Amino acid sequence: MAAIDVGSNTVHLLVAAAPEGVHPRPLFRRRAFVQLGLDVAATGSVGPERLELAGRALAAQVQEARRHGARLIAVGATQALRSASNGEEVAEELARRAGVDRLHILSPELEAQLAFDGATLGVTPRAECMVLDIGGASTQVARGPAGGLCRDRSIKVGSGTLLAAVDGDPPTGAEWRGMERLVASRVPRDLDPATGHLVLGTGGTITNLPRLLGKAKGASLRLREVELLLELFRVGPATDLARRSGVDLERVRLCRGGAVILAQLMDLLQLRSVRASERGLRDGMILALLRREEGWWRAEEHLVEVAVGAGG
Amino acid sequence: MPRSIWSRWRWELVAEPLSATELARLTLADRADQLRWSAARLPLAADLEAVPDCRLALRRLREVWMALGDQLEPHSTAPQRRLRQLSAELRPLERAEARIRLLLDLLGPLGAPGGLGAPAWRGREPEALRSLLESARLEEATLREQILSRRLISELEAAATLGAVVDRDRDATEAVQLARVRLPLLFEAASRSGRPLEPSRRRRIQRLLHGLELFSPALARQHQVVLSELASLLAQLGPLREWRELVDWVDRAAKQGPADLRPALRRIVVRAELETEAAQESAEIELSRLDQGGWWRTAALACLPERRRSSRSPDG
Repeated sequence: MAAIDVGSNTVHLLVAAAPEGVHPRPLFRRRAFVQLGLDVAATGSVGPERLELAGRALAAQVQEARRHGARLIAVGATQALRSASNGEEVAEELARRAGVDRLHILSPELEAQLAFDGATLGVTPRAECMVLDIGGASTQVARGPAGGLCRDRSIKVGSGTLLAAVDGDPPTGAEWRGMERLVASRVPRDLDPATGHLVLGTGGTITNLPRLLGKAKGASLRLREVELLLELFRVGPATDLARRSGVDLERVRLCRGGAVILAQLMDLLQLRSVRASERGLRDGMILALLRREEGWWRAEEHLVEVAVGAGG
Repeated sequence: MPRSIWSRWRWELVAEPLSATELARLTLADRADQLRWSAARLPLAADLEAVPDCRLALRRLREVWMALGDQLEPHSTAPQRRLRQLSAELRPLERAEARIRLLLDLLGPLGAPGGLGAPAWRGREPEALRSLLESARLEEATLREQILSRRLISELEAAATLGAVVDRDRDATEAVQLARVRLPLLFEAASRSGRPLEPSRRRRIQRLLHGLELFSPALARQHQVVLSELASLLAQLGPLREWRELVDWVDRAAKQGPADLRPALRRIVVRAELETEAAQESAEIELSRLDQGGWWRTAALACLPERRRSSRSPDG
């Protein structure tokens, strides 16, 4: 089985084996930086050049998934296409170019639930969890029992949104303030603290931030470490960090905005640390494929099914 | 102690034109008294207006020297320089006090929700604000100890007796003649506008206010309206400068503060920036109303009385 998410920053493929009775096991991953979110942030729609780029990346990933034996492929898009004025047309065109039946634009609720399902895979069932998913154009804060229905707060700011808001590298003082301001204006004022929750972070930003500090990908992060990273971003260009850490320059630039969001969320939710989870949205899509096959994307049915499962 | 000896009734009584020497004599004594009184209040830490009042007294006394220097002894710029130096010595303390006032405004009563209509505090914002307030108070106390020495108080008292009026009873220069030279320059400077609003404009408008206050007894009655318009304008521009300074100060604190408090400190910077923008917007609206309506020119004409007709005039 394979899942591809067309995000605001990347088009990302996961091929997983799904032996009966055990959790799906990742076999192959592929990522392409397409940054649809940059076009949407600048013009409100996806331009032809970015469409071309995304079309080629998606077609290549679909081929790779088939080459790896994927029988079912789930393709979903997130905030960039949700908010683009031509999102539906782009989704149809991308599906046509990639040779798949359909590219589904996921609702924020379904995206959060899938990321929650994926991130909490392997956690003791019903343990209270919170999942932070910092995407390119949106951030999801979902909480609920592992394996059950989550309550989600979708925040319309992501690492790509902040990348589009700055020119300088390192950003100027005014640009830093602009980023902080954007985050402060988008984060809802009534986020409850995450007391008693197992807190997991998912998405490229959170999983890669530890690498910039020389830690293993997916390691835990404390607030003071996130602040240390912000200090590094403040004093030097992203290229220095990319060279030192071996992380792609595009990812490092995205991590800058992601760290701004993460620091604010950690303070507002009163988190001491966040454990980065390598699993996330695509793993949730694989789980949904396992449960519902072609109907994996049917949000209402999916949520009702999870709710019933959680209730039982 | 009355703030000014020029109460309204005087307008009705002054029949003869006021000479520059007489104006100098009366204003110098009045303003020197103000400086002495405000200097005496400086050691009272609870008197939050003492430092701003003292700086105001220094500026108003300096204005006497700038506008009526020919009527005063010694004939040098040394007294002006001295008054300026003393004002500069007090400036850091005035700023530190303003910071505390603004932080208290932001914090609200005991950090309860709703300071300046702000929504409830979140995360570690109350802790961060209290830490800022503590730093601001510590800074203010240190500055108070450093700046408000016995030496400074006695120098301020000495500055109140820096000069004397030259006794030239035959000097026929009318105060209004000097006003006609000085005030148009001050009006012109105050009316110069730029986008965005420059911090120097507040100073130029303040100088005009002080100039008008000084020449008040020699001006047309309508100048009182101009004075009150300028005072209300400055009341809007003053907090703007204070908010700008607070933003920079909290921004520095956010970079240097404990890592755990930094996200909250950065949100406080954002909130202080929003307050600054609101203050700037309201000041710009008010200023553009005056600028676009040609108010400065009209106000200058309204303040300066018409020249009396010469006795040699053919119409006379």
